[in-house]
Amino acid sequence: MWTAEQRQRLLLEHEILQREGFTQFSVYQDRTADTYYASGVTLSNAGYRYGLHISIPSGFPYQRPPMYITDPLPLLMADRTPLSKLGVSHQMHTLEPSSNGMVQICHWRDARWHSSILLQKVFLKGLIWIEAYEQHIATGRPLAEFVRTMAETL
Amino acid sequence: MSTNDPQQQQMIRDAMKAIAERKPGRTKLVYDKTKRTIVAVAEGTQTPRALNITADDADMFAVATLSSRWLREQWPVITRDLECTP
Repeated sequence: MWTAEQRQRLLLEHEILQREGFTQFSVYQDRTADTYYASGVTLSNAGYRYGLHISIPSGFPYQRPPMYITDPLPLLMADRTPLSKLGVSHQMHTLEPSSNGMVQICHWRDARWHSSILLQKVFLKGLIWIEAYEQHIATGRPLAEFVRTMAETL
Repeated sequence: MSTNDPQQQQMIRDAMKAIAERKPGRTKLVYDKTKRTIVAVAEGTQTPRALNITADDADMFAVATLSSRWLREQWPVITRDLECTP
């Protein structure tokens, strides 16, 4: 069950996405199940399409929301094997994939997640991850060579 | 509108490697609100319709700078949640 503050926050998150130019993304409510998610289809700089999906956990905004690449599915590495096969990978900045093989992007360490981080910033990290992924495809080098790893502690 | 410009791709690669290596680069990455994608621009370029992302911004691979007055006005609502954190 969502609190009034959570619902208000999610409305605000949607407004921020629209006002800050992230109009390819929206926050949605599944009224039947009374669940929330944020998603959208976006383009990389090179013009390739990707689907990004953020599942809103019941503990949001205190709990880090997972972000998945929904399209392409499967998402392949430079060697043409599914990226989801790696599971948790420091080299590729990924976490445990979904049960149907969607890659989960490592966007924030749990220990460093806090409630003032906006979904807009999470999506921004998704966009950067996508650019780094395309650099991986172009060069064959691991994604970690193109994105900075978040420090363990403050 | 996105581009499949090899020069742009190389600029993105250079900017990303500089960020990953925590070094200043000649290019930086920004989110272009008009194109709705990440673009690489030469350091010093004016990007009024973009959110800046630079290697020096924070201890993570990227951070956006939000500058809208509206967001500042809404910030008390957002941080009210933070104040309730146990």
